[in-house]
Parts: sequence; structure tokens; C-alpha cells
Amino acid sequence: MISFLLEYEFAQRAIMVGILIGIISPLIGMFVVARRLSVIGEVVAHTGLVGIVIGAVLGNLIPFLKGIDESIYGMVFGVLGALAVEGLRRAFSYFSELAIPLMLSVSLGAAVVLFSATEGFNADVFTYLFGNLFSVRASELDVIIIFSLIVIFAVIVLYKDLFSITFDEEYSRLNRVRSGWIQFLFIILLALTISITIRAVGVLLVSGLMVLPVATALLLSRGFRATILFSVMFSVLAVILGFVSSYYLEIASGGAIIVSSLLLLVSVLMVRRVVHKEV
Amino acid sequence: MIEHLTYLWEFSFIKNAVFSGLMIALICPLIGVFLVVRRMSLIADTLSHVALSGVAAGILLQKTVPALTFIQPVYVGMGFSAVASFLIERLRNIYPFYRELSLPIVLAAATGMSVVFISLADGFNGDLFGYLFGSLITVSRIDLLIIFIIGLIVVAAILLLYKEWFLLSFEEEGAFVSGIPAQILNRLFIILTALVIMAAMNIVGILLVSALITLPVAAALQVARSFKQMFGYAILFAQLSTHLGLLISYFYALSTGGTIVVIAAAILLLMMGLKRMRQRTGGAA
Repeated sequence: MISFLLEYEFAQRAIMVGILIGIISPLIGMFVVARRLSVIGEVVAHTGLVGIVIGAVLGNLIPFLKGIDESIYGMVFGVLGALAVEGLRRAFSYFSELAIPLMLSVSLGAAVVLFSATEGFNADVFTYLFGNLFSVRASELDVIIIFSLIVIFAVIVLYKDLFSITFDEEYSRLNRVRSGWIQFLFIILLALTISITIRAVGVLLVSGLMVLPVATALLLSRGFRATILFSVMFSVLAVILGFVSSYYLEIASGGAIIVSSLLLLVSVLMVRRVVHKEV
Repeated sequence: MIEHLTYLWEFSFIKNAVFSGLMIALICPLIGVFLVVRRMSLIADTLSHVALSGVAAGILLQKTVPALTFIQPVYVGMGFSAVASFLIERLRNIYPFYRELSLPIVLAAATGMSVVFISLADGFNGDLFGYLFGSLITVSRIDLLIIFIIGLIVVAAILLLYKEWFLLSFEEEGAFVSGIPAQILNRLFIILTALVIMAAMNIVGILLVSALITLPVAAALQVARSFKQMFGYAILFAQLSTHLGLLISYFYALSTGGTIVVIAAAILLLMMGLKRMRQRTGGAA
């Protein structure tokens, strides 16, 4: 079934991008969840969308800027969004949790106004919102591969530091400067991951791919490393399931991937319940 | 300009939009103030995404089962958000160490399902934009009637239960001691939120509803000196952004919901600046 599909070049590209995204999303997602920032992915994705739209507009207006990939704008704005949340948290010290819904709605509103102002209010918007694995162009593949490798490499090299800023408060207190840098790097990695994931699953579903597989792996309650491995496994499985079902059922790939990982979560929940009862 | 406006007023769709805007910009901040002070502002976002999956399921239902075309997608959405309000509570108990995880899970699950339903119904078209980002022309007479009924329910509920919710928001323990049925009140409140979301959906769109619930309240937080004043300012800001947004989006052919949100954001920035200035001069004096 899959081998037939893989004879097409666009399908090869799609599955390759899907698997790369399936690996890096939970990799970053694990730290996001453990640091209790699970909604920040949502913010970075929404502000990233504003960046992508601005990038598209600029690319059309100024030919000179056409060469810059939209996902680079997305990344820059994603980082700005994460920083803005921090700023807003301080501004609303008493109601700091307001910062996130505020950023979400403002950036989505701004993106929509920009879309409608440039009359790009057509099928394109749906691709940004809900993603399309099959729409990845050959020219974008390089950027996605490079970004993914950067993320994987960075997580391996910085694993200890990331682990420390997540769980060891004393470490962060004693190494103020270093932990500050690591936190900043982490936000950049998060924005990088999201800006390329948007292509495949869309703005509205990006953080789902970061959170759902991790939530599934957490149910198995093993150590941190094992949870990372399990979540990567679950998410790659979800991507492949979503990929195949989206092709054969003709449904949007982003939705298919997220529903697959939702089904994985539900089935692990059920299995856990049965096992618990037997014990 | 004035002539143009009076000319516009002849069109019934404009009237419908303005009247429903009046109502929506009243009930959104009303609910919003309680949501913000109870630190539940993200719930509006989650419920609205769940509503989207309900609407998507409704569209699919209409398309596949012709006998059920009388069921408006909007009502299916309402049912879904009511169910989700229970689910969120259950999920919080599954992840005792990561309670905040339940909202993003429901958010992602709901959005994913909406996309699948919509693509099964071949619904990626202009209508969907109306649902997602609001539109001026989608408010029909019946919608207007429903919006007004929902508005009356919400206003009545808040007036009747103001004291109880006030207590729950600021003195949860005291509320328990005095025997207020907290759980029922909480449920009721979430259902009211779902109702408000459905009412506001036509004008600002599902994805931007929570903006009209939180942005004016956030702006009011900057300038209000009491809880009651907060309601006043929040409603004022919401009305201002809704009607300016309707006007500007009409004249410049922009997305209605998006314009409303951008104006509300501008008001928030203005108020934040005002507060800072006030603090500075206050510190000097």
C-alpha cells in the first residue's frame, strides 16, 4: 500500500518531511511539557504565522527579498512572540496567565487582516492554518532538512543543559548567565521546529504534534529518556498513519496526523486502564 | 461619509451586523471579566476550538445525511463545547503532575478533528472563512434572534448569580464554607461561556472569539479601580472595537473578525501606555 505511494516523488518528499517533523516535534515537546510551557508552542506558532504572512507579502513586493524562505520569517517572529509573552507576563504580573490568550488572538487577528489586505484570502490560508504535507516543494526540502538536523544536533549536544534548566532549579540559580543563554537557545530551537512544522500540519495543529505524543508517552511513566524515545516513536507512527490515511481517504494531512496521535493517546489510556484493573 | 452611512443603513445585513455587534460586545466582556479573574482565560480558546469541531461535524452531517439538514452546524458546535467542559475536568485528573496539559490536549484534539470533518465534507471554501474569522454578511434574521436570546440568558444569569460568582472568584474557601454549590456554578459558568462563543461566532469568527472575551478585559485591568469599573471599561472597549471594526472592515474590505481584534489590541496597548505614564507622574508627585 505504501510502496505503491512511494513511487511518486511528491509522496517521497511528503513522507520524508513528515518523519523529520515527527522526530523533532516531540523532542522539543518533551522539554516544553516538562517545563510546563505546553501552551507556549501555540503562541510561537501563531506569531510565526504573522511572520510567514509578512514574509510572503514582502517577497511579492520586493523582488530582492524573494530568495528568503518564509520559514525564516516565521522563526524570527516566533522568537519575538515568545519574548513578548515574557514581557506581557510581567506587565500583567497579577494575571500573568492572560499573556498567552492575548498573544494568540492578537497574532491570529493580525495575520488574518494582513491576508485579507493582500487579497491572499484564498486556498493559501487553509494551507497555513491546517497544513498540507503534500504541498512541500522540492526547493523547501533543503531548508527543512537543515533545520531538522540543527534541532536534533542541538538537543543531543545541549541535552544536559536542557535537562538542568528543566529540573534543577539550583543549577539555574547558580549559573544565572549560562542558564539564561540556554533558555534563549531553547526558545530559538522551539521556533525553528515550529516554523518548519507549520508547512506540514499547519499553525493550528503544530503544538498538537508537540504535546499529544509526549502526553501519550507520559502515560507509560518511565524515565525522562525513555519518555522522549517513546514520544518520538508515537509521533513518527502517527505521522505515517496520518500520511497513509490522508492519501487514501482524501483528508487534510494535518488533521489526519493529529487525529492519529489522538487515537494513539486514547488507546494507550484504555490499555493502561485494563492493565491497572488486572493488577 | 455620513450620507454613505445612512445609505448603508438601508441594507438589512448591515443592521443585523450592528445589532448583533451591540449584543456580542456586551456579553463577551461580561463573561470575560469572570474568566480572567478566575484565571481561566485559556478556557475560552479551548472551548472555541471545540465549537469549531462541532460546527465541522454539523457541516459533515448536513452533507451526508440529507434528512438532518434542519440541524444548523452552530447547534452541534454548542453541544460539543458543553461536552468538552466535562472532558477538561476529567483530563486534569489523568495527569496529576501536569494538570495544565489538559487544555492543549483538548485544543489539539478538537482542531485535528475539525480538519478531518471539514475535509470529509469538502468544506474548504468561502463559508468556512466566515465560520473561522467572522463576516459581516453571515448574520441572518434568525441568527440575530438567537444572539439576542443567548444575550438575555447570559445577562440574566450574571445578574442573578453575581454575588455567588464574585465569592467564588475571590474567596473560594469562603464560598465553600457558606455552602455555595461551587461545582454546579462552575459547570454553569462554562456552559455560559460556550453559549457566548456560539453567539459571537458569526461576527468575529470561531478562532477570534476569545479575543473579544479577553482583550477588552485586559485593557480594562489597566485603568479600572474597582471590580464594577472593570465591567464598565471592558464593555466600553468591546463596543468600541466591535463597531469600529465593522466599519473599517466594510470600507477597506478587510476580514471583519481580524479588524475587530486588531483594534481591540490597539486599545490594550494604548491603555498599557496610559498606565505607565500615570505611574511615572504618580511616582514624581
